[in-house]
Amino acid sequence: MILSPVGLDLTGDYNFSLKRLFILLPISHCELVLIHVTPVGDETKITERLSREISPYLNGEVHVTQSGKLLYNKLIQLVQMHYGLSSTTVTGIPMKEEQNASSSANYDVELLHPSAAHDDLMKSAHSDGLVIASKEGLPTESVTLKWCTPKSNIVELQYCTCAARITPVDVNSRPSSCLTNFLLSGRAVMLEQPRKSGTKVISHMLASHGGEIFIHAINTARSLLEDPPSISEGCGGRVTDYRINDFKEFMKENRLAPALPDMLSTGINYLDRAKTHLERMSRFWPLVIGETIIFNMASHIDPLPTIIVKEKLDDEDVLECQKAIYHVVGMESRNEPLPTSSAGTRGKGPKRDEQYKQMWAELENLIRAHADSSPQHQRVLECLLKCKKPSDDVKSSPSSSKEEKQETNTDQNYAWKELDRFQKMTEKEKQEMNKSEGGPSSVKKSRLSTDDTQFKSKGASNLLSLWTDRIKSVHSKRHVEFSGRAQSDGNQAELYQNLNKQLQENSGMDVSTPPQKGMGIQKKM
Amino acid sequence: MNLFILTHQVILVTDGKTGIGHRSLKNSLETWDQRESSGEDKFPLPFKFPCKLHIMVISNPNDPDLKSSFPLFEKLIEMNGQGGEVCVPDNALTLQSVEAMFTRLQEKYFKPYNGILRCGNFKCSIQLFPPPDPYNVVEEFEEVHQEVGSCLEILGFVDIADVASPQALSRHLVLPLPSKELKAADNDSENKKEEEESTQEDGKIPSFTVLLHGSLKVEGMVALAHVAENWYGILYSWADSKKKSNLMLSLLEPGPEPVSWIGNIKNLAPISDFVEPPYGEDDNKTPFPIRPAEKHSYAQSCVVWIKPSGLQADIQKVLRHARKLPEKHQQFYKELNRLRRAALSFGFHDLFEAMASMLDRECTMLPGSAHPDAALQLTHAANVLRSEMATDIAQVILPLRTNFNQDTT
Repeated sequence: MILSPVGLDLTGDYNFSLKRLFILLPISHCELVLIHVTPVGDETKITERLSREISPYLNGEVHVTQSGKLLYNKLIQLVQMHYGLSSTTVTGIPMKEEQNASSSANYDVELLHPSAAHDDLMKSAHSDGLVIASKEGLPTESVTLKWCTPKSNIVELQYCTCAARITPVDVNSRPSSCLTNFLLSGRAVMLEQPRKSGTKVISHMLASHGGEIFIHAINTARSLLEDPPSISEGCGGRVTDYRINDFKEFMKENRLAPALPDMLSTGINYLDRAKTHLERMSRFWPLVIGETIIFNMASHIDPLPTIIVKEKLDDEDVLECQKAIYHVVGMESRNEPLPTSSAGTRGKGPKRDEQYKQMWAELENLIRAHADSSPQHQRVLECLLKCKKPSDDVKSSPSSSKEEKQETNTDQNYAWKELDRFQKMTEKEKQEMNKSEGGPSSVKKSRLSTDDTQFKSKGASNLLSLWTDRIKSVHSKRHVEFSGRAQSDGNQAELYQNLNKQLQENSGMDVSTPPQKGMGIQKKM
Repeated sequence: MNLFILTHQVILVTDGKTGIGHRSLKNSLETWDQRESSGEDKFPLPFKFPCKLHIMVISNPNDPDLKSSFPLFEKLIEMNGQGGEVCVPDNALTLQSVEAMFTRLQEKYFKPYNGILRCGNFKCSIQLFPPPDPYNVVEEFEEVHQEVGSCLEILGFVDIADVASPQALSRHLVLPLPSKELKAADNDSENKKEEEESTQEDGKIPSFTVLLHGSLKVEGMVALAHVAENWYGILYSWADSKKKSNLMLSLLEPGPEPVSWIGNIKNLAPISDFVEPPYGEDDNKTPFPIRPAEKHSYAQSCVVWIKPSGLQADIQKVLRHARKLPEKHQQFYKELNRLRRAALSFGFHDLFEAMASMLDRECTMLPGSAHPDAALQLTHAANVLRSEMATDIAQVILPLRTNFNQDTT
């Protein structure tokens, strides 16, 4: 800092005007550094002076130097003192020769960085023979650290006691820019202490983050954690069926990112938002596979678990959830096995209807945990309560109050009555119903026609259609379609065709309807 | 200023006598820096590892010798430079007073940390080992005194590659507390067998920390946790040399921006709040690191002529391009103008004449097979360098338009 002659009283003046302004911080002390520069080779009569007190506010010192390279060295020295910088010389950097690209030689590059990066190392650096005189001619010592050829881009989390920005002393020399370009490209270099004793100690790492190069001091000191227990030895360590894969997804969905400028201007506390998101995502989250049924049957209830945790649902989301619930209703009616893990249970597992009861309870817990989020969430819960099989055991759902129970029972009754009604229909009635619903396009075989497409063409599916779907699909799987019907034109197959044929042939008439080949057995589901 | 939270404790128990003669403490302290810096004879302080040094004096507190030895003990702690204290028994030297002295030390420095790890609705009682120390630092404008709170709350997750080995104050194992310890009414008379059984049972009760650890390890992520007001830490899976892994907490420097490439922690937002996914649709990009507004000098090609080699390298660059004229004529003029601008900035006008004669020399040394345009361009460049125009910073030396390069440009 260079001040005008009146500057000697500057702090007083400055602070006086400050007292009137009340804006800026008062200056409590000032250091005046004068550098006297002479042309190269010139003698000077001015002598250097160490820092001394001129007034309680002011210290002054005088430096004398010749211009050119020497001025540069003087400035570096002052900068180093002012910012508390230390020097590290990275040795043995392999570099291709400029003229002869096939051969390579080793170079050294000297770096400056805050001294904190040497805090641990300096306790033994001198005795380990790591300290040399600065190769760039700085008036300080430098610590040598050896370049370790990087193996690969393994991402590892090092325990670093310090991470400090660096700058090469000779910024743009070829070795320096070679090193900096290498680091800026995203690779990291470990640095090893070339100790006299020959023990290999990697104590530092050079790496760039966002276009800035840092020297990381890796902890080398002995630690209390030298023989730590393994997590498997602690609480919960012997459990083997944690939902690791599901939690991986959970973590990915709860990652953080720097808010964009327009987001910051809203004044929202995004860390609180992150916490609420975590809270919402974890309302119903069993830790282990063996404790849950619904999260093991993702293919059946998807996308309900991902939708229900959302903050807001639209009508489509509600519909998707309802579909998933109806699907489970179908599974139960077909008495399909549930994916329960046999781990932990000896002998026979619980009976299937018990499993379903458990599954419904779980599903209810999941949905109920979010029911308060919005009216849409509430609708999903209502749908579940309608579809959930009325349990004989009242105790199975203690969470619902009596009043609620009655309500749900009537809803459930309605749904089941509707189903019952359909089931009681005769085959013929069903056919008619399906035909009338499907319109003229369904003049094909009625048995095969009650498939998805018909119902989907009418838009949103109702419980009845889904139910019949399932029933049909199950039925169709259980038997092979009578090939005669499959080949016939209408719903009815003509029996004893050949009998007729033979009669016709016998009577010498042409065959009008050859059997349709290649159609085979039609199965749509 | 950097102050590390220290985790080790060295306890020196002494009768308060400092010895006499050559090897006395007094003499050692006066001559410690004259001893050899390595080997047997080396003075053990300061310790190479981060630690506090406590000196427990088992001696009568009224012992007159203590008056002279007390400052020496304090000097030892000062030499180690990392804190600690000298303790003497209260009142008289009795079994009780010594016990009380050690109890005080234990309560002050060895109190285990018991707390709760939270992540949304996940909760788990945990112990941190070693217990985190309070953070006390005198900063430029304020003194900071902070302690890790009783609840570590996870805010979200970040990839290991993004967090990239940040500077940490200290590391602590995060151990789930056995259910047994929670039950306060524990019978001491329980025999060992029962204890073993209960630890085995605890092993079978699922714990959130184990789930978290396993997932962090497989996915290569860290969990960012809030440990106290304006203080954060990262949780991750850490394995020792024997591949035994455990959940670890690294405490970052207190403050809103402990890792510069992550930016201000308070500006982090859950990805669900973004219109465009910050990690890309297929998880193929990352919003980190935060880039500083300015590029550093080592990341751009600025002219540095502190040493002769810097100037030589720049001149040689021009000459290399000159020898490859006319193919390199764009690069040749670019480097020539860069050199000229730098020389003008330094007031180094002598360089123009020197450079011009070097180009003249190059011209005479052109081989017979050289393109005729090469000689024309070299002569042109040399002439401009000698002209008035060369000293005008606003001007740029342009290539000579010849019949040869008209077609190509």
